Amino acid sequence: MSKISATTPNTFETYGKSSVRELETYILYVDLNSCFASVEQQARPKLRNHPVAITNRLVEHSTIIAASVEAKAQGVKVGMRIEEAETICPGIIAAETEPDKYIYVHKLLKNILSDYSSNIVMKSIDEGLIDLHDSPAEVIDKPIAELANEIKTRIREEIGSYMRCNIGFGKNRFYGKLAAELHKPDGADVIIEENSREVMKNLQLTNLPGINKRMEHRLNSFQIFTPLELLDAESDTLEKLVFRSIVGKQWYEKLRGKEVDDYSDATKTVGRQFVIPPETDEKTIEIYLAHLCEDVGARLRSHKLFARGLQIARVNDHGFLDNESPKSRQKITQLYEVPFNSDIEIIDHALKLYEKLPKTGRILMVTLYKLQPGPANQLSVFEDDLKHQQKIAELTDNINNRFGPRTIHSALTTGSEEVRCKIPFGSTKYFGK
Amino acid sequence: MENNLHEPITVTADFFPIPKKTKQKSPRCIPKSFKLSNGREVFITEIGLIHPRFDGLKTHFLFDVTDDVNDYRISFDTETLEWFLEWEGDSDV
Repeated sequence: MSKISATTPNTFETYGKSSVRELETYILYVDLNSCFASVEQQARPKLRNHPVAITNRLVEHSTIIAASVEAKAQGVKVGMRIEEAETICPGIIAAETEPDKYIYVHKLLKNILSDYSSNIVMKSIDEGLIDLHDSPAEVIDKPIAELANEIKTRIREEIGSYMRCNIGFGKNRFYGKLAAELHKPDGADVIIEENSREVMKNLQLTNLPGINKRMEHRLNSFQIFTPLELLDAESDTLEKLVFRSIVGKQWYEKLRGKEVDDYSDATKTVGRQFVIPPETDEKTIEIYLAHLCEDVGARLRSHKLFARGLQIARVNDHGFLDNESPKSRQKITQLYEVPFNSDIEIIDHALKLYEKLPKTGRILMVTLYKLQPGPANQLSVFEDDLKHQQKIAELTDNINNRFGPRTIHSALTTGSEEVRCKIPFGSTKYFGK
Repeated sequence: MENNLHEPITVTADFFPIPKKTKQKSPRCIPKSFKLSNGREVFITEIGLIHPRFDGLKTHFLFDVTDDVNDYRISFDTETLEWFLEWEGDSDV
């Protein structure tokens, strides 16, 4: 049981029989519990009821990216190293990520949510929200406990009997998300104006979605130590002193149930990173770099975009759990006159930049920025060359889309298969329809 | 914990048509048992998860199944209509 679960009241006991329309809680948030680990337990019945840790690679020092409910109950946390988890949870079973499976479960979840409204937003691979404002009366007039149970049952029937989720109802996305965090695992809650203070008084600032340790320090420096104190803060104080931007006003409004998070971001950057295995020589790292360039190139072209900026970085991170130590980052960025999107150009630019980059840091990152929908407006003296490279990229993509990824790839990336994408975190933009 | 195979197998399966008014795009296939080349037959007691894997336009369906003793993964190649045993988990998890 999480720290929040132990202290917060069960909101469904009071409001479970009321409907969405009566409570005006038109945002329904669904969050699959311990998603990657639960999917593995669903797929492999022998893993069920055992502590399971999901990791990117099955080696001693790799980091846990998801832990099963059973592992979490014994103190295993996301971000721990496998060896560390084994000391506090003997017998923990490590399994490697299988993105295909998680992406498929994501699609099944999306199908279920889309049956309740045409307006759904998948926030990540394992969570999404339903905006019920335009939903039929049979949905919004149903008691919320019944609606939550129906969705939970469908998840168990259509995805798998071992899958559990948390459901939260709220007036806006913030309260929906917060409600879905209250009683993990397999909980369901609602937060409305009437019970928001009662719920908030049992929480810490970092329990609120969007507030991390660093933000907590900032709020503390303005004598805001609890969610209730944040709720009671004046709009001007938040806007002009604490946040010193429009974000302060947005916090004031979202805490009062107004929707300020219903915007969608256009793609501004396309990037990938890779943890370099220990004792890898520089020549091999350049091969990994070229592989990352091919991946970001394919993603960029799948959005029919061109980039003008490129950043290459090597980062030393101190682990997910260490929020205090700053990440040491060596990076080089370059803005180019002529937009590009072919692998040849990206690899060429990247290798030139990499020569100048200090060679420290375990994580290798490639990011394309300054994205635009088409090639250069102005004619370039190299226009024929560019068109030729873009044609090659288009043909390569067509062949790879027909016969499978990396059917054709740069000769430079031969033997770099370990760079393949293993962690389906972050944007769900590449999962397809 | 597991052995990677890719061994051709013979599968006995039930196929169900696409129900009306659903988003299901292909007939549902429920494997019941499979036989390995050495004659050993495995009777499936539970299907954990079925998911597709795309290799370009080629689709494989992967079935994670159990016979209550071991966990297995069997795959169906939709282009060649062949079945394979992909891996067999140890029973001492």
